[in-house]
Amino acid sequence: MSCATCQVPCAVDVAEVKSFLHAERAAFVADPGAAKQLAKIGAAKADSAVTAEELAAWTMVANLILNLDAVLTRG
Amino acid sequence: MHATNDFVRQITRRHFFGQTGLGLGTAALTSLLARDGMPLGGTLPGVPLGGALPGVPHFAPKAKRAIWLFMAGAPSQIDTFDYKPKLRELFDTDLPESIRKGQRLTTMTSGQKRFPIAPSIYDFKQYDNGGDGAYISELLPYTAQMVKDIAIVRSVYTEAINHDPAITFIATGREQPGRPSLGSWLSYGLGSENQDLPGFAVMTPTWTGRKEAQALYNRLWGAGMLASKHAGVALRSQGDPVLFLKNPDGVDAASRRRMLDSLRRMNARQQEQVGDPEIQNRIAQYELAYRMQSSVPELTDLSGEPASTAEMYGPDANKPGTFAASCVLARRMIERGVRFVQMFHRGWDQHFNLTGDLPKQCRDIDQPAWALVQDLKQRGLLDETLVIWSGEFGRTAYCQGKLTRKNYGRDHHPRCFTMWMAGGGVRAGAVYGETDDFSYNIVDQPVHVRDLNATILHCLGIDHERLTIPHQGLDVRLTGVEPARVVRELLV
Repeated sequence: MSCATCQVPCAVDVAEVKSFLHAERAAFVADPGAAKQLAKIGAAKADSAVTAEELAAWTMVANLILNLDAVLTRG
Repeated sequence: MHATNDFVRQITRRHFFGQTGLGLGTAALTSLLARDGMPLGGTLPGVPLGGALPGVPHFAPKAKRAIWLFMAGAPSQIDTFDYKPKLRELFDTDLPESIRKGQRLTTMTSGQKRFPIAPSIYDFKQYDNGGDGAYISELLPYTAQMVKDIAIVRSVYTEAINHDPAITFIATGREQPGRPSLGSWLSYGLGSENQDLPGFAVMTPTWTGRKEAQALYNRLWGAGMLASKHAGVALRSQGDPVLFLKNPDGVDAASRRRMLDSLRRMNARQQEQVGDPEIQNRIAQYELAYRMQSSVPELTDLSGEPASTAEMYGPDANKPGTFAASCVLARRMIERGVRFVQMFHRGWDQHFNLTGDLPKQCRDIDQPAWALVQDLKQRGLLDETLVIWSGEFGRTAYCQGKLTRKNYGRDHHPRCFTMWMAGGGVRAGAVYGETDDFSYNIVDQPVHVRDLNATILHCLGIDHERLTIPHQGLDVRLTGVEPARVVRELLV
């Protein structure tokens, strides 16, 4: 997150992202079909060492971070 | 709101509640004020676009919403509405200097040795409008059927002689870029009636005249120095109306909601640290985007429309992206409380091959524009909706390029053009303003584009001098710094 925002993340934000990651993990573990669909998107081939659920959860985390105002608006 | 004012207000609220800017206390204040109709950044998920400014509308409006059918490129008034039979005898004679009076020329005709008159080859008939009658050319047979419903103004004028400044002028009140558009002013002043759709929607339909046409710019529906959430949202004419609205495969609404909630909290903390009011706009627009994931598919799903819709709007009604299809969508948007819909139909810049292209352009819009007015009338919405039809300037009586009996071209002409209005507040059947025999100079009842905008705002209950925003020491308003009048003779 520091790279994307050029700021050191505060503890509250780190906690927010962690809690979001956990929620997404749980959702994708409960729905592996959805995880596979999301993991399939993209030009690069998915790393076979990572499960689809893990990849999908982190994809959503990346989606969250890349949409932050701090990322979209360079300070 | 003005950036510094917003920042100061945030500090005051923080101080008043004794805690950080977007904590519980401010959220409570936000919801209380939103309920009372006071404007705030719209950080609450419930009110992304916000309500009206206090005291707006300034008086009881006749119309609550408006649709502007914008004919980008400038339709020739001489071949459509401004009947000049005396020009028939003047074919291929030069435009007298006594008429031209030194009007500047564009570089497209300034090199011509002659300025021969090109009378319209189209026939005009007079139609009963409940008054003195209105002349309409054979190119607009459907519009001719509704002269009783519309007010025609033949004496609109501007100073701008090229498209970019002229269209920017009529859309934003100034020839130079940077000012808010009419739709943004309406969103700012009146707020949105439907928090699930944009308050200001824009469509850019296809056209069948010559393919090469003047470009459009998103500053024409930009918010200028108003909060960016008031900018128009343009729906695409081909494919998905809004790009990337749908969630990717595997992402459901719950996941998206979780992401947006986390995003909002993190952005809110960012706003506390940095104090940039634009972050509120970003939060509001993401919230609107989420709602649009459901509201836009519902809006664009025409399966529930009766068969009479396609019959009324014509053969293009079921072809997505056409002007006719956009008119159907415009009516649906009005039904769903969108405050302002602006449609930019391109291709009207008939510098040459007018008799080849203009009939096609007219056919694109004639029946659908008529259908839109009738449809609103039948649904009981016309009394509350203002419909506007115009280009950005007029066209010359003299020919640009080669003049023949069968074909000609016309250059830009700022000194007079024709527009029409219908609906809430408009005096139906009126014909206002007159030009000379050459459709070159206005001889009676001139209406500057400023006056037109003042009149439109008036129909919507807004005093154009009172809806302002402080910016660089000026109280900026849509009608600019020069005097502008509401044309009361056009209104009931």
